[in-house]
Amino acid sequence: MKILNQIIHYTTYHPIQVLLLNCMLFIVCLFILPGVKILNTTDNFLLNDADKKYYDQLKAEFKNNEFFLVGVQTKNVFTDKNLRLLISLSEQIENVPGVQEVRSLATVDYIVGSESDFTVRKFLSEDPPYTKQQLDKLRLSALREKFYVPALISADGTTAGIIGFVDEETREKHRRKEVMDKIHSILASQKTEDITYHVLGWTATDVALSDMMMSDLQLLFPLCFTIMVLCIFLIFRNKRLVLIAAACMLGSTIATLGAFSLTGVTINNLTGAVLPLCLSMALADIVHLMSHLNPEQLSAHKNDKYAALVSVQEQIITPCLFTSVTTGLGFLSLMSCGLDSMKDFAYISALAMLFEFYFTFFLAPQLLLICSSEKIFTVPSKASGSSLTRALSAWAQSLKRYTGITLLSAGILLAIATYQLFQVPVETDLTSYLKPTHPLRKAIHYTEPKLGGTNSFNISLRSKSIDEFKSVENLNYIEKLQAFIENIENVSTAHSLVDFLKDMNKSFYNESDEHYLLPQRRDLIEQYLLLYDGKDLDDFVNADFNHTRIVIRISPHSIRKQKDILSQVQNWIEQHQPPHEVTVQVTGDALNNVNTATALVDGQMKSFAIALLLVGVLLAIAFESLSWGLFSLIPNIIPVLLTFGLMGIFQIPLDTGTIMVASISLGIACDDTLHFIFHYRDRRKTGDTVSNALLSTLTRKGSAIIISSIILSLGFGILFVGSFVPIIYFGLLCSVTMISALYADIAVLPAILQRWGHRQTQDSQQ
Amino acid sequence: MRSKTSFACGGLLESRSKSHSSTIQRKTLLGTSLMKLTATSLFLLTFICLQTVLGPVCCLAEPSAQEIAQRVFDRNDGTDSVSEVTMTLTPDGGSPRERRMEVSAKDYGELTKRLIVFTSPKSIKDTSFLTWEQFEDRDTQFLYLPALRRVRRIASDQKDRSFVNSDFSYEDLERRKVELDTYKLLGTDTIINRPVWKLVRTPKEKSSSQYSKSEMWVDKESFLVLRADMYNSKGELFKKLTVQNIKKIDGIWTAMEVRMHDAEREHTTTNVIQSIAYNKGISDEVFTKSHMERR
Repeated sequence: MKILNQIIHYTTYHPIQVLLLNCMLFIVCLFILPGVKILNTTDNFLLNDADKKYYDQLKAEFKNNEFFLVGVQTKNVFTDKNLRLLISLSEQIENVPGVQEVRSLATVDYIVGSESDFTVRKFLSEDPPYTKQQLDKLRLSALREKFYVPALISADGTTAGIIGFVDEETREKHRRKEVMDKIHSILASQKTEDITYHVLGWTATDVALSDMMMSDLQLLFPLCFTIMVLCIFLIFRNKRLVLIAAACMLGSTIATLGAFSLTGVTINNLTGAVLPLCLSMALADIVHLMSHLNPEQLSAHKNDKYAALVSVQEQIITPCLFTSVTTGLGFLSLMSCGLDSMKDFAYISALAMLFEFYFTFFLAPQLLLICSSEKIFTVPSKASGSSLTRALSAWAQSLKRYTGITLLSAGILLAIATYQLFQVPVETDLTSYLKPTHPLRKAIHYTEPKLGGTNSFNISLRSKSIDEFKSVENLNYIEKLQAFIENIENVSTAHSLVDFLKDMNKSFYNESDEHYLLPQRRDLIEQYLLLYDGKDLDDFVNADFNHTRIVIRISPHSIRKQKDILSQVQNWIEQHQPPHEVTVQVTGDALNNVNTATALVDGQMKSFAIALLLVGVLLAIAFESLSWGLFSLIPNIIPVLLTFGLMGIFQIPLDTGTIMVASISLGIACDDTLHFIFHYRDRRKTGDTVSNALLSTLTRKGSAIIISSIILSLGFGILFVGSFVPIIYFGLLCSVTMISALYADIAVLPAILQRWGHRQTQDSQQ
Repeated sequence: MRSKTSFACGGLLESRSKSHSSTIQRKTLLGTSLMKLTATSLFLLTFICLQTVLGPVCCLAEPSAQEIAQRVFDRNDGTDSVSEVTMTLTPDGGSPRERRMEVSAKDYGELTKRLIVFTSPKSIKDTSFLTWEQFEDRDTQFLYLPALRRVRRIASDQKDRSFVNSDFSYEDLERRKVELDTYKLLGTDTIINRPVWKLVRTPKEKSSSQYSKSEMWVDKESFLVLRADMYNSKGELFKKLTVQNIKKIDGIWTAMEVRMHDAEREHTTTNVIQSIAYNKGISDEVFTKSHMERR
């Protein structure tokens, strides 16, 4: 670490050059700042695996995949006024740019057969006004149609659905918000007292989640910054230190934004969290630097502020470097989960750690040197507070007496936490990401029981030969599979090409329910197909008739329940051999969501194991001792265990939002341990007894550890005011972890050292 | 006379026979004579120069868009016709599939009757559609499915539905009264090496057509529409009709190969007339339900 000291020496004695360099860096960052892109979608939060690629191919082949649903809630849909409204809304929605097609009672075709006639018309073909007789007839017809109930009309006739399919360009260019804004404006213009509108479906969900995340980011960053600045002021009561800390925090943020621009990583729902995190992390190291700015330090160097500042930096640069690296490694371990957006988050966060380290040692000291020494070396009497130092001193003195009790209570706590760890529900439910009062959650709660679920998946059936899905054998297989799916609990609807053929057959047999059957002659099937508009079939079968799909809508938003449905379908497919040359594959949004959630949860264990290993190795390098490296992991595992224990007690699910807590908190929690053990070992090396070394460490490092832990806890705690539930949980849990880490560093670690410190020192010396 | 080749050509090519010499032709002749005279005197030369510049607006003036549309509508296509047509359906990037059919058509004043019988592939052989296209009224259509041996009357007022799962909609196959639309002449152009007028057609009532507008390229000699770009209600290109080849058969200009591309579906239908005969005096009996069942 001699080189670090040399660098510090140089940069401290050449502050102007360093400040000029920083100015240039800021100018470059500000210049490239416009290149930062904001991605307002959750699309990137999907595992880019073979299943997703398959689904992307399928989406390119079939149109009408992603949709939003407008639920029109009233007492009775079948009134003249309401049907007119439905017609008008459908027309207006269809004209919204980005909406590919609209399906509602006002747009769907109605096919009805009799002995002599075969009628194809719009369901609402007659122009309003509708007579009572017509309305009764319409109600009766609609409620009997499999294609309409529940997707377009609820079984009780009180809620009508308008399904809008968004086009590919809207999805690819992330213009969902523009579409949804127009839809909401149309609905606002058609508001009446007896009608309630609900907007849901993936388009609405994506927009709601993205809006919430972006509004959280806009709220949390300034809030976090303000609170951090306030903390610094309350702790140090020194305006200059506050300004310098603020400059370092902003410097780290600007440099991180520059990294976004240079690397091409977008600010999205996940990477956006790096910015408030960056502020908290930057402050943690600054607190350690500033807490050493005491008058004694200055007088020890004959009032030479340069020498005093070099000395302060020399004391903390090594532990700070290791704390930054360990935190960075904690973030980098998240790369193992395989999700692109998580990888972006991991390496941008790691870069942010690098920046906060840089600005702590290459901006803060130079800014401090601008001030007169008596204005900045003021900390001990004001910042740490004598009462805090006295309390820590008292705790160090009483450690001998309370070692047993401290260790016992820690053991009991850990035992409870370990038990509770296994009670943590592993579940991702996108609706739980929204607060219960959120309009989308209310819309889902009301509309889905009426109009069916808005989550979907597909069964893709392929054949190498063209026209294979006109064959009776293949269609019979599809019919059986579809019938099985329709009977699975929580499946709202399942539609395929078979439904069209059965419906046509029924119409040609005078609408007799007995003939709602799949024709068993290929020539009849082909002749029926001539009657369909190509667009009717485009959603279900390709033009070559060698690729078809069953489209399934399901109600659960819970990944566990979705996984259960998919497993049942998969099992059926495995047990029922498809006809010759036909391959069957489950695909779609639900599968992508399940795969992503599974990869994240599985990746969490992997990521935590990697973080533990890397942090352990780094600590061993830092302490130049394997046993110290391993030992120092103990106080870092404790906060993670306690946090997961709390999750178990309060049944906070381990989901895509809370999944990152363990790895990140391990990386952050070990910072204070590093500072503690570095100082403790230094004291032991100078010949202090364990008790004296602990007393010195707790009084010299305890204040900074407590302050930085409180700041970090507050920094994460601020996320609690957000509106996006996973961010709230993430903030809350990280905040709890910081407090647990403080407990581990101030109470458990000293108790362990008090009890076994003599032996460990001997072992490490050996 | 009403259109008989409309199935192969699309309704945009529809015509009705009327006058043989038109105002346009007369104006063209007058322009040519004047050009010959101007060669003898400076005065006339000056006049010719003026004519060159002002020609389009005075003596050599183009017919109005409405007049051209009317000529398209009135184009001669015989009293009846029998044709063999190959319909090829090709998805973009997919395999083409072929259907063959016999198309018989006959005019009855304001009514045109058309019988389409599929001859291949085997699975749809003998499936037939009989259409009684009633001018200014709803069409009547009958369908015969040989697999069920039944004739059904198809009642549908949805002109935007595709015909036999092709890229032609019923609206594309029908004649459209000139009065229903407004026309604007955009200029002249050349299509398949033939001079054409370019018109834009906009329905007066939005609900009367599935297209918000259609750009049409009308052959100056035959009054066949050689190309048409149709736009949907959002103003996006929806379909594109192109004529690949035209021929004069029995003195009647006929579009021999017509291609319709649906940009939304990314799918193309090509109708090629293999053979066609006009004015053969087809029996009325051909256009009856009982004939469909007996075939």
